[in-house]
Amino acid sequence: MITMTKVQAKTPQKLKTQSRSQASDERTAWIMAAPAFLGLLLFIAAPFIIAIFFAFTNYRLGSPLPLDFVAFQQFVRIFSDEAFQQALVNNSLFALFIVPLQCAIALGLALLINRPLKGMVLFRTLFFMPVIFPMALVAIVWELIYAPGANGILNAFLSTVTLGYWQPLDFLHHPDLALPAIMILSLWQGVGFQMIIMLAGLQSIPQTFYEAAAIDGANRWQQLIHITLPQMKNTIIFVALVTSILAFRLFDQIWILTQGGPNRATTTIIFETVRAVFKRQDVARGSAMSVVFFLVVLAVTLLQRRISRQEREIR
Amino acid sequence: MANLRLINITKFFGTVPAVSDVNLEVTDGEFIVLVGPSGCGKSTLLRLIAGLETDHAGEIIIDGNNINHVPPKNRDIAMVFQNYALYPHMTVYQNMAFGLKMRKISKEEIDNRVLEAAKILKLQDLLNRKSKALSGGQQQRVALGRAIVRKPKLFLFDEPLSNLDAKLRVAMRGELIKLHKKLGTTMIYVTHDQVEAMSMGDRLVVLHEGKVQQIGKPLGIYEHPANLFVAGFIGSPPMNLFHCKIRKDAQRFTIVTDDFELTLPDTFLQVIKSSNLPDNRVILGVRPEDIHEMRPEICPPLKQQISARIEYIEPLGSEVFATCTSGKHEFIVRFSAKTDIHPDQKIKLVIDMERSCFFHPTKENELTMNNNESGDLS
Repeated sequence: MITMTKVQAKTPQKLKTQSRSQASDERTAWIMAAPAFLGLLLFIAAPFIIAIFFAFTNYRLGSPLPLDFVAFQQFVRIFSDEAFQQALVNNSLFALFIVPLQCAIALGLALLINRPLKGMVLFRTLFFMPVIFPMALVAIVWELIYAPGANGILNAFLSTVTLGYWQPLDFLHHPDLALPAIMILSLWQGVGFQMIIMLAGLQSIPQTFYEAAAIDGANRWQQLIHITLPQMKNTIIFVALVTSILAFRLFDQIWILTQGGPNRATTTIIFETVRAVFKRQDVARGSAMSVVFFLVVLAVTLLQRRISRQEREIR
Repeated sequence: MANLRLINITKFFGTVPAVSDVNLEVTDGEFIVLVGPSGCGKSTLLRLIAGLETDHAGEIIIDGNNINHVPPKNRDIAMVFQNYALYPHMTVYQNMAFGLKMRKISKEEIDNRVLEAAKILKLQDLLNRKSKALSGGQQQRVALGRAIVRKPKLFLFDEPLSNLDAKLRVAMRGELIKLHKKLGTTMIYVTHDQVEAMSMGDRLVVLHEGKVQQIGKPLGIYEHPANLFVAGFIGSPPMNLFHCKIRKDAQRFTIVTDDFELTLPDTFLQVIKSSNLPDNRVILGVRPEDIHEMRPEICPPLKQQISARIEYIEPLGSEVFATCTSGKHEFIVRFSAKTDIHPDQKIKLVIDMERSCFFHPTKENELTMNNNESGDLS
């Protein structure tokens, strides 16, 4: 029977039917994918292309001036704008601290909960819970924690543990503390997500590596250094990339808590973009900023892909 | 090099006993094979010796020291895993050197030992390769190398050849036997493959459902299996089993089946008499090579001849296994490759009764073995 089918499959008629069915499969695939494609095109690709176009114009909502092509003028303008410069610095600082810190803490938590002990599900859930809260809610809760005056939760706590030596601070309006305060709440909110990815990475490391290492004489610490970390490299790189992108996308907390203040201490690229477009109706300027944002994210992604490709070759 | 003693080792997984009441003594330099079907507890036993499984009852003693609470790294053992467990991010050299590096051995010494092991295992050209880039056989050799550079007291092997193809497996089997001869270190080897067990072990430990069924030299176990399980497990094809009754005649005992009758040799007389068989029932075990085609010069009395029909044959080149039926009985007979036999052929067979075994019909133990559950024939 099998040979017969094979022989028949070679006849031209069969071939024709085969290609016809292949074509029909392809058509079905396109029809199935169409809604998603349309959505992507309409809401992601099209606005982005329009933004690139606007970035090279002087387009401003409600402006009496005619739409004009201004080449790179918008980019020159935003890069000479002190607020945007500060935003770039803030975003970079935020990423510089948050990426290594959040990766390390996520890995640490993942290592802690990756044990077959009772109650681990509870801890896993607890650590992950902040991730499911909307950032707006998290921001409001942390606003209470950071509240100025002796009655603010953090101030009261610090005052208690220092036996009254602590002088209450206004964290969110202190030029040196506002950005770190935002960092801490962002870390608290986001680390559960990274932890879950790290956990998945940890669980994909075969147990026999650890058994072999244990017999080879490696203690827990040496197993972490020589087995876990090398095996986790790609996961860590991935988590670092996602965290970097999130760090450059920093907006919600800023909008709700500080409005970029005090004195631009917490302003960010997205915050400046939103302000340019929706407060000042300067669509062209906002578009130029989004293009810069896109390029930053692209650069980070390419860097990560390059590193992880090298890793894959080594593995 | 080391002596190993296991005393009353029992290990539960939840409420299920994985290993129960195992006693074993391994002398210095011995090659011991733990063999049994999957789930028999052989790997668990090995992992207990390695210290990868803990919380067991009983004592594990190496060279007189109880190592129950000694962590794996301090037991001075090396283990080769079924899937090799090579560190994929390290080169062959680094894989082999890892255990030495962890033990803070000097760089020079590490270099010497790794190069020496690489030479023995023909890995010199692969030392700078990542272990992922190696074939199964090469990975297997690296795993062996990683074990031998350590110069441990005891080698543990957990089905190390089962991921290799048949040809490579036979080759590696030879390599391992040679290696054992060269190093002279005590080795404990786990396998489910009874051919591997028979060909490699100085002694075998046959396990089933966590219990030791028999400990002994391969040939001893083959010829005198302690019970029906061992009779069926060791040997391929397995031992033929015939459910029979013993009939007491005037002077002698006769073994009776529905289809043929056999005279009990005098050597078994005492055993059968003292065995207290229910309803005089007994199970006769005969290896396929102990059933012969009848030749005129050894023609036994008519009733001792088994008239059989060949159902089908399996020619293996050097020999032919023929599945035969005689009435209700189906059994396998080994013929030499030159024998001219074919399916549906009618054939007269005789059993070499001196070489057969008798098993208790309910307790299933072999009758000559002092009615023990296991017997050490070493």
